[in-house]
Amino acid sequence: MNLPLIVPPQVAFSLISPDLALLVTSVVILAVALFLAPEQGIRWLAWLAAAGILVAAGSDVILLLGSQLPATTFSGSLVMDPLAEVLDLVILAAALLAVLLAANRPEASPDYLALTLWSAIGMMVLVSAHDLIVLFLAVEVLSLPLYILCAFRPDRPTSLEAAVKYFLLGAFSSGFLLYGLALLFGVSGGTNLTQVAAALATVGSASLFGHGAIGTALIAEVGIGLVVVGLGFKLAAVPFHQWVPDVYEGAPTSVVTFMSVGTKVAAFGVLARLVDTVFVGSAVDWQGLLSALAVATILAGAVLAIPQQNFKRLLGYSGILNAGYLVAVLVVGSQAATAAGVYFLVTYALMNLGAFAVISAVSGGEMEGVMIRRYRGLFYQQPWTAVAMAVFLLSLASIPPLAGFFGKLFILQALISGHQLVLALTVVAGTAITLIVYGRPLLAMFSPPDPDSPPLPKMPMAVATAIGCLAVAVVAVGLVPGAIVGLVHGVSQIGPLSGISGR
Amino acid sequence: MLTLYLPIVIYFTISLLVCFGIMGASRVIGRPKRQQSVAKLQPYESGIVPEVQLGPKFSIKFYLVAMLFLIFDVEAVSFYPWAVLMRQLRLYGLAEMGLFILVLGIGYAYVWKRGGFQWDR
Amino acid sequence: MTLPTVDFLVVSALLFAIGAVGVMVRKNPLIMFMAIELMWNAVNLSLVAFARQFQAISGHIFVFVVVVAAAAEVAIGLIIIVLVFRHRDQADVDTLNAMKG
Repeated sequence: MNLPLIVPPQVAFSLISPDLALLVTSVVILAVALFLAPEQGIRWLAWLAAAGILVAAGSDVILLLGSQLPATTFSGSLVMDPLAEVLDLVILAAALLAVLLAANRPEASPDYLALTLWSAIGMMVLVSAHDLIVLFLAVEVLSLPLYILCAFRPDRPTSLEAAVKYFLLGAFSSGFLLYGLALLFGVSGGTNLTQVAAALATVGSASLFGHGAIGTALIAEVGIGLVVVGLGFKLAAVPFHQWVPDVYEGAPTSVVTFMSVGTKVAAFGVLARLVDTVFVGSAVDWQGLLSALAVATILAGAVLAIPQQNFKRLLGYSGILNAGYLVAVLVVGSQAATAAGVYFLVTYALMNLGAFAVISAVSGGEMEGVMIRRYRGLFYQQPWTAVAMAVFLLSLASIPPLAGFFGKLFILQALISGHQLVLALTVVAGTAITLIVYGRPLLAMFSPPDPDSPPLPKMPMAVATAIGCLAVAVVAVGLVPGAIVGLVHGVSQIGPLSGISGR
Repeated sequence: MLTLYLPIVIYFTISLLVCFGIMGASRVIGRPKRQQSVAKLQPYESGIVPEVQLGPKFSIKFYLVAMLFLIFDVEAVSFYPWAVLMRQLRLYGLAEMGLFILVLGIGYAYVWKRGGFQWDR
Repeated sequence: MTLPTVDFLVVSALLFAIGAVGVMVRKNPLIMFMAIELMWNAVNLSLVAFARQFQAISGHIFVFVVVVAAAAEVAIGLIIIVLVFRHRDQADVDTLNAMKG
């Protein structure tokens, strides 16, 4: 067999500078750690990681403000568009908070920092992926460090249990994703999403490779279904949602903070890109599949959240619920809908990161500290923490005029203008149920304290600052929704590719 | 067309025959089950019946070394395509491979420094 | 004469199904993990078959990437499972039930 002529890809290094910044930081951290004793200088390394994340965020902002976007690089297998860069910023915010939260905890180590950065790189590549191979590789790069991070407190049985569950289900769902990608490759004969989109636009009753029983339309349909289900795991959507509460409960809080936002953002980004470039132009019924997943996910998340006693589990089910909203908005398949999804994700990231930061600070690493009963009378012990938590919870419950309300509102608008009335009603129902869910911890915080509860741990300055910033952001985004709406709408033009894919 | 599969069919037939042949032979030649004593049917004729299923035991150290070997072994596979196409890829390929080796090397040094290769720790 | 591509796809689908059922019915994480590896390798068979059909080298590259990713996955999975073995006498997903609800 003659080898084809391989041409080295043209790489625009300025386009991938955020990813490079993280990669260099992680390698430097490991290299520096070689010369330090295991427990020595970890705070210094944490600041180094935070600085690397800030540099990456800075180059992201430069790209956003510059005129380079949208562009493709690596022979069209990575696409850098405003959507990807904005989602990158959210991912970086989550990584930064994880590093800050971990700095004073037993889990802090050079490995922890490097793994967090690598996972963030995987997420950032995933939202830019425009090639089946890159997509798969990015999913693995984001997942593998997370499996290890979940097990970062081996002294706790729940941490190992969370890691085993997350790993087994994650590898299982990766198998489905991989099979789906293989089938899409089989229909199109190419791995670039543009090729896949072109092939899916023409699938019909034509049989696969001249074999009567198997039609290309069937293969394409099964492939899309498997890809959506496999990515749904990362998004925490039904049917692979079982891991969420257990992993949220068992894994270290700093890790959960990062993964709850990061994996959702990355999975939403890649699904939005697939919908826009591949699904919309295809002759396959992808909307029915996504609608069914969305309804099941919203209902499962909302109903199962009601009886939870553990705050992290409660937020886990809330994560499932919000994954449902994100899948629902994807059904519409328009750019306005994607913009609504991005806006929702930004607000969700703010309030979810804030809530987990408060949980991390209040629990101080104790298992008992994450129970809702521990929050009784928080207002009388740490009034500002309680107020911040109240802001986050009210925003999660979509009470106007906080950020969460507008996120939900734009999703509803997108659904109604896309004539998805059933989905819109499900979103409303899910929101109504969550009033009960978030109401319970709210009431606990402002009821009189338990006299014999132990004193709360002291909050590190960096964490307190982060919580304060997030709370102010939730209020500010709520009061001035227009400020980021404009940004997000400008941003959700997905790539230069919508034109290419023939829409 | 189907004749292509004939060797596989023959293979399966022979293995099934051997399998059932041996089982049948032991049934015919051996004593029937009801004539055996209860003790004969236990995993150990004397001693304590195990409560959990035990597999063969391996040292934990073995796993660690095996996994480190596995990782570096498989990553080294990435060298082969590059070696084949080295001239076509020119400086780009060389730089890319240099970066790859650098990252891999720092990982290796890190594992080494943390004592991952010490057998008796 | 060579075998038609569809035959490979059928075998691949069967292997994938065997792996998926294995994950669902088995209790030992090691065995479950082996079943997952079977699923991944079933996909590799599909990919190679497609690559041969299209004469597309990207399919082979895909398999290559999958194998490398699978090796990393094996290392990480085994480490986690070995950690569980270290902290308990036995590894059985049914005994991993400290968290419920």
